[in-house]
Amino acid sequence: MIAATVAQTGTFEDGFLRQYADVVRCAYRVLGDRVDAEDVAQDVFMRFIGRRLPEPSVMRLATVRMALNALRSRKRRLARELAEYRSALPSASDSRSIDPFAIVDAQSRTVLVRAALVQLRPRDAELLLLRYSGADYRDLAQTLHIDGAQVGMRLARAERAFRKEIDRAAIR
Amino acid sequence: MPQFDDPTSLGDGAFAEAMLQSDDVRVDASRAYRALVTRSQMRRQSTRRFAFFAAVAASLLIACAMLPVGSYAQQFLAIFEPREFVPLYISGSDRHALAGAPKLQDLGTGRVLAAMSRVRKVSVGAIAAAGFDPRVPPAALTSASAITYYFLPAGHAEFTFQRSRVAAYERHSQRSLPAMPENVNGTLVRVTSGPGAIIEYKRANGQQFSIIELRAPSVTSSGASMATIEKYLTSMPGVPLDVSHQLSNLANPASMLPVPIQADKNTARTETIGGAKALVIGDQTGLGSALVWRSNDVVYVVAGSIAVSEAKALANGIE
Repeated sequence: MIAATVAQTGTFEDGFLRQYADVVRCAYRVLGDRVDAEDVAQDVFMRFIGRRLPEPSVMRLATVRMALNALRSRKRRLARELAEYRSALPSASDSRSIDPFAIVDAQSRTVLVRAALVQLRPRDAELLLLRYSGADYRDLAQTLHIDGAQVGMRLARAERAFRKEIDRAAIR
Repeated sequence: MPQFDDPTSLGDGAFAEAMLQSDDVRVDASRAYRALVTRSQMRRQSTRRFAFFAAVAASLLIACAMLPVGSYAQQFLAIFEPREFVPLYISGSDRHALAGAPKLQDLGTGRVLAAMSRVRKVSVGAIAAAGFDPRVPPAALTSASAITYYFLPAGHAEFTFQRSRVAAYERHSQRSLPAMPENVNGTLVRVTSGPGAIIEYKRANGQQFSIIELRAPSVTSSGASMATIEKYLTSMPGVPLDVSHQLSNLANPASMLPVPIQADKNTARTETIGGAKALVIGDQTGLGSALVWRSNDVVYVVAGSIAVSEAKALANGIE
């Protein structure tokens, strides 16, 4: 169980100062906005105030879940941003698969990533976000309670689904 | 940065990594910590201010634990007799809208005859001496390093709907409210709840949870039916349409207690505990959960920083 893996040493303040930047980065990867990311980080830490903080991997999972939930509650805003992104696309690129390295505008990448993340199955989104926040296969298996032998397969499936959703979002 | 002529040649993993790369975000952790401490203190003060409401809601329970907003909806929802608990989904914009709705005190006069907020820490023997015999799960399930008992005295409150109060509110706020139906004006609603007990468990690993057992609240009305009162209250400005629809679509409004669920922060589903329908509330992190159900004339709540599966095991342990 997640809540059982609590770090046994250090005060809440120590843990906060040590983990805050990591938690904000994790939320930022989902939300693409520093203020929103700090809001989510505050909510995450608020749940543990006065207690010992869980391990960083558990904090990251809690952050990813809260940030994804915040994202899902803003579907209308996401749809508007996506429409603006699409309206700015040159017509020649309409039907091409997206090239992440060709996206020079960070805002465009954020729009596409957020649009794709809300469409993914929550489990797939969590897996991807934790993986690209630095978790290795063993961490993923432990944090998400997945059989270690299945992590690679599930990750590949999540990556495939993510790419499909990005392409779907990018094509007008 | 590598360049690819054909983006389709990029593997799915490399593609995901490239898309999910994050800019370096600079933060001031010390300032953020001070902000968190301030927010926590404000929340504690707010909690004290609404102590009575929180205690009544302990009968109606999850609302105060999971939705600490002194909203109009909560005041309204508290005047039902719960036999079954159902989720009432409230979004962020609903909460914002509800904050602008008139308060219950704008529609009449209420008084508390006995406040449940006088919760006191007692020995287990004192709870039994007060005539309440809480059921507890086996020690193997609780794994607690410390157990604290609290006694919740019975609470009685009454409220009278008054047109004169509505008129005063309209003058003061320069807002116009729907006309109070003839049979609602002067109706006295009495709410009785408790007594009950709260047993708080703490574990060595920092987990904390509580089991609340409470004689089920009962509500009486001297005039208008609950359906009429509900219709009147949900017609108020500030009550969002989706909230109003959820309430009017309840199969049995007289016995189904809608528990406000923050749609963006909590999840809810129904499970069976000891033959009764229980409302299971989880938070989005998987770190907190709450279960509420009624068995005979007692309302039970298991809530805390535990996973839903464990809250269910504890609930089944009680039954």
